[in-house]
Amino acid sequence: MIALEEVRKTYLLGKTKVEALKGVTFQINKGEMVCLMGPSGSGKSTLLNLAGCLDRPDSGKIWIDGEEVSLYSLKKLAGIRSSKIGFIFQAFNLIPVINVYENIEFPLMIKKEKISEKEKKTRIDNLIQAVGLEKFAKHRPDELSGGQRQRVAIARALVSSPEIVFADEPTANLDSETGKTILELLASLNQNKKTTFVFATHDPSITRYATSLFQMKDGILSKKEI
Amino acid sequence: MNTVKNFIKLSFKNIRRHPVKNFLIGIVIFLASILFLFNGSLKENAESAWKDYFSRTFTGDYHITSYQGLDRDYTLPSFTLPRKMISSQIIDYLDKNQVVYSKRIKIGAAVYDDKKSEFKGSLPALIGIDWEKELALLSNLKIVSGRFDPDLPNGILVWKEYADSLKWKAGDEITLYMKDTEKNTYPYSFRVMGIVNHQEGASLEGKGVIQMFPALFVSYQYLALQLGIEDNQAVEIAVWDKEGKYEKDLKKLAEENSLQYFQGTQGYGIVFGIVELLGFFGSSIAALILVILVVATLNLNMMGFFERRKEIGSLVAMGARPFWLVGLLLMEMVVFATLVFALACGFYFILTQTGGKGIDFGEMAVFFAGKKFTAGFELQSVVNGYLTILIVSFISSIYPIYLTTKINPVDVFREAEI
Ligand SMILES: Nc1ncnc2c1ncn2[C@@H]1O[C@H](COP(=O)(O)OP(=O)(O)OP(=O)(O)O)[C@@H](O)[C@H]1O
Ligand SMILES: [Mg+2]
Repeated sequence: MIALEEVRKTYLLGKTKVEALKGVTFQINKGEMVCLMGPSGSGKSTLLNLAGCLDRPDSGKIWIDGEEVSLYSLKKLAGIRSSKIGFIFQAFNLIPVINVYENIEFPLMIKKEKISEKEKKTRIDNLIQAVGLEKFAKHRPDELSGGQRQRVAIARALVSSPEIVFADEPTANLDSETGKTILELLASLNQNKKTTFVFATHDPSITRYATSLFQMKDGILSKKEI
Repeated sequence: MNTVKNFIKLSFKNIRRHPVKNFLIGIVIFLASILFLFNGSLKENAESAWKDYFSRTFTGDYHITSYQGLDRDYTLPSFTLPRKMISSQIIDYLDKNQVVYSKRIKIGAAVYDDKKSEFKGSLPALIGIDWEKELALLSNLKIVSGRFDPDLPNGILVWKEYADSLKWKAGDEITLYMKDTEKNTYPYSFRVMGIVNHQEGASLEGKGVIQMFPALFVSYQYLALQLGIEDNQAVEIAVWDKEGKYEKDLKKLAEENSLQYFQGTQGYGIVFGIVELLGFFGSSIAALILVILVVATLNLNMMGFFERRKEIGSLVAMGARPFWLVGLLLMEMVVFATLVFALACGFYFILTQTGGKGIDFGEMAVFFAGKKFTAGFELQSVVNGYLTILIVSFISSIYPIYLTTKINPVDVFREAEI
């Protein structure tokens, strides 16, 4: 479903070049739960950003659903993100002024395709139920705990029915117990809704939720057996 | 449609969220709006006070003069009678609609000094009026010396300022040279029966650079007889129509008959340039406010922009297109500007209602024909003020909004981790 071929990305830090990705090739299939491991600075976030169409590679090719997107304009990439991709951030990045329900609704406002109000409501209600926040639908993000906030972010990432959700260290801001329940939630959504998840983490204890595991080191990716 | 609704909804929520920033911008816009409304009122006060002054002292609310083609104003009478008098079409219209009006004969008369046997330099306007009608309508006129005598056919009333300049007193016999309908110039003698001045607007004396009204009033009938003007014909029609009900029609009729249409409010514009002065005054203040407004709000908007980078970054990550973001932020600006402006209007309206008997501008009262200033609520200045506020808000938010569309979520999230 997503494929990368010889993808390279180099950053300039002052005069020194940092090769964040040194020719990464890999493939993710539908319904997988992919875990990206690796030390700090190894290039995990860079890889997720490129695969998630947030950025463009210096060279190499990226396909999404058989469509090559590596040369798309930023505007076109935004369209792809809106229709096919969801994000869960380490820092939640919820919109503080609106309540849980409205935060989850947000990606649907951005979407170009029309969705009926009724359909919207059922989708959001179902997701709120799925992440266990029925009692908090009318609360604002600042009234929630970290774990609850990340649940909102998960529901938000899923509301536009994306084919793939990228999560960059989704548990880094949470205690290990809460982190575990979040991963369990992702795993169950992966099981029940067949949503594809790709998450990056430092934490070896949560790798066991993955169906396939990759190791990143100095910009080079290698598959690891579970 | 739905998008707009969502934008408005979001705007309201976003406005509540940056209380300090929005309070500061709000205050600047609020004060500017009040000043705009006040400014409009300033001009309106001057206009209506002067219109009233002219209407009751001299010209009527407006008048139509038969100076064919000559672009003259009220202060410059012609020594020659016009070739064509006011058309019967206009008189008929006035009679049919029962408009309050008065026929006049106006002519420039040369003053002859019998003692020195020479002409005086200036050409005063000798105005033949229907005594009975006009002395009641010109309610701001006051005879300050002498008295009105209806039995004296060649009696004239002289504007005080002018009488003083020629040292005329009540009872004086004077000689004026005029051109009659046959184009012959003859001397005519008149008796000064009274000196007239205005009752209100006393602060005007000595303020004007040019002599205000070199005007002499005489009986319409007597003047018509002397000059050979047929009965019922007029050089000028003065109309009292405060609401301007017939203004449009009459203006059109005047044009069709190639007559000069003149409005009371044009009078002071020509004589003093007061409205221009106030307008200049007002626009200087307005320009200053606008500059301050743009700079202040631009600064605050920039602050707001940096505050919201992360949030906007996540909107972009979710797939928001630049166009969408611009729409959202512009709507926020419009909603905010509208809210504050409405608030300012409300506040200003309460001020006008509780303003009491008006403000005495002292020396500056000349701007308002010597009257007190009363803050009023002008629709025109509300519209102008709102448009200006919108444009200014737009100018000061366009750069921050442009920056917003350049936000790269990858950078923003990296920054956020620092
Ligand atoms: N925008 C950028 N400008 C300069 N260098 C960058 C930029 N983004 C990433 N890098 C560099 O690329 C390398 C990979 O960074 P990346 O953020 O992908 O690592 P990571 O594996 O996500 O690390 P962490 O686990 O700490 O999040 C690092 O050396 C980083 O300094
Ligand atoms: Mg990272």
